[in-house]
This record gives sequence, C-alpha cells and structure tokens, in this order.
Amino acid sequence: MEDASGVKRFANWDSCLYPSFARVAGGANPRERRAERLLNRFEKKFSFFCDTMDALACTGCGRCVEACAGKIDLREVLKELAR
Amino acid sequence: MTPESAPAEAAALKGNPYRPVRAVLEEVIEETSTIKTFRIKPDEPVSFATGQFVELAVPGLGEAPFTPSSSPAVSDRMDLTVMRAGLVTERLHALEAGAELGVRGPLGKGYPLDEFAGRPILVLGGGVGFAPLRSLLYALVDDPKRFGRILVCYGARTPEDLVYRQSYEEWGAKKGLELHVSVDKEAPGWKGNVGVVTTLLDKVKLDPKTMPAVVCGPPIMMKFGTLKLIELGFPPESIYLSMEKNMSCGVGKCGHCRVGPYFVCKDGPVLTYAQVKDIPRIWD
Repeated sequence: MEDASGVKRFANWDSCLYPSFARVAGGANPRERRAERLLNRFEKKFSFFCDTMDALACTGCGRCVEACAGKIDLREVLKELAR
Repeated sequence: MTPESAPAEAAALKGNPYRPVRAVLEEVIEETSTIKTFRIKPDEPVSFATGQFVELAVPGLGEAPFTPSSSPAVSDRMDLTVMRAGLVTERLHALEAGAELGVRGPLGKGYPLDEFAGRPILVLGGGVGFAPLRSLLYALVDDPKRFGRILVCYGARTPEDLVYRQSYEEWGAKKGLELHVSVDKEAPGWKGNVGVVTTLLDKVKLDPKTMPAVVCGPPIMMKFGTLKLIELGFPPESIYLSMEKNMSCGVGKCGHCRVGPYFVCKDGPVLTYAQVKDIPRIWD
C-alpha cells in the first residue's frame, strides 16, 4: 500500500483525554464527559493494568506533574482516591 | 509531532500488525439507502474466523473496523456490509469498483463455534447488525452435522432498511434454518411481522436453557434485546453480544476500545452479557 502514489503512513500523538478518544462513527461516545475520561485514565493506569498485566502503567517519571497546565498532581489525585 | 515511518522499513517488518494488505474493490452492492456491501479482493488471501473483524483502510483518509459479512470458508474475497455513518464510511460509499483499499487483520476472536456445536442457536439481529451474523450463518449452514436448529430473528425500521433482502427466500428454504423478519412500523406492501425485533421473540419457539443467543444490532436494540432474553430465561453467559467500540489499533495497544477489564479488539469483539453486565455505560 505504501507504494501507492500520494499515500504516506505517519504516526501522530493521541490522548485518552480527548473527547473523540472513545467516540465511534455515528456519534455514540461511552466516555463523553471529561470526568469519565479522567476516570478512564486513572483506572487504566492504576487498576486495569494491575489486574490484567500485573504491572502499573506509570513509571513514576513525574513528567505529567511538571507539564500539567492545570497544575493537577497525579500523586495528589491518587492520595485523594486512597482515602 | 508527526514522526514519519519510512515506507520501505515498514514494509520490511514481517508480520507487522499495522501494515495493511492492498485490496481491490470488486463490486458494490446497494443494500439500502445508507448501507452498501463492498466485495474486496485482497492481494493475498485474508482468512478469518467468523466473528473476527478487520480494519479497512481508505488510502489517504483512514481506517475503520468492520466484521466481514461473508463466509469464513472464502479467503480470496471478502464482503463488508457498511452503513454510511462517519468519515471513512462516507468516502467508502462514494467509491466504485476498481478502487484501491487496504485491509488489516483478522483481529480479535471469532464466535465460539465449539460452544455452539450440537445446540440449537438463536441469532438476533437489527439493521446493519446482520453483517457479522450473515457470516456466522454461512459457517453454521456449511456444517449441518455439527450445528443444531438455527433460528434467525431480524428486524429493521422499514422494509427498505432490511439488508440482504434478495437472500431471504433462499435462506428460508434451507433445512434447519428458520428466518423471521420484522419491521418497526406498518408499511405499504409489508405482510410480515410489525414491531421491534424483540416482539418476534414472543412468537417463536425458544429453548432458553440450551440455546446460545447471538445478538448484533444498534446499541438500543442490543440493550432491549438482551433484557428481553434475560426475562425469557436465557442465562447471561449464553448471550453473545457484539460490543463494537472504537477499535483503532486492533491489537490491544491503544486503549480506545477498552471496556472494563477488556480490550474489545483483543478479547472481543464478541463478549457475553455475563462478561459486561456490571460495567457502566456498555450500551453507549
């Protein structure tokens, strides 16, 4: 397929927090609300992966804490969730 | 932001799950005003188990997941019945025979035919949801010694919205296959059942204790279909649902299609009601 003229393959960034992340053609969206997408992020990293693959999906690099424009500290969220 | 993969490199990766096989669109069959069946011929055979899906690529635009509607016994051609619903399907519907496409797969798990063997089976479909079910029907009728009575209940909004209309007579005449068709509202010239597809379930002979029920259709139909089956005594583990979500990578990496503890693309697309019943928003 790559040989076809005018066709190129590329990778681009994606985020599970985008509204379109789980949306399907026709408009149905199981994670329509921002809160549902945020829940998905935490569930996926700290519950789903532990249950299904026996590992945390977080290396603890701290990059997301540093980069967050909204000053959301993932560690604080986890502490709140643990209470 | 868009690191490009060198095409030559990508092609060299043997077994790269992201690399589509080129396919030529051979024939377009118009089913309804919004649904068409696309018959494609891949450059190399793509064999699949009935119920598995593929990513169909429209070059220059993108991919979308579809479950073939053709027989799993055929690997040199593949039929995909597609409703016009979004970006990729819109472009697909504008294509004519001869167009170039890409196909990637098969992906996911097929219908558990071993579990269906020797039992009567209920096939419950709505609208374009008949697509994967037609593939299943081909697999079942191909092996009458292995499978029991096949009961098909299918519905659409209007007679014009029914897919595969030209095949009903042939299927109805098949030994061991019983086909019941319904439309939601009365329509001129329609002599069959009127009412949503679940109304057919009150009129046919069911065996909830032994029959698996295979359900595919729009979310609202799957929801009420499932609730009706539960009410009729079908155990949640014998209700097989096509839980189609936004399957993007198709190999359990990207996470778009995650539902509870499952990746629909890897663990599905068919999951039992027992597997999903406690997960929030499964019908969305």
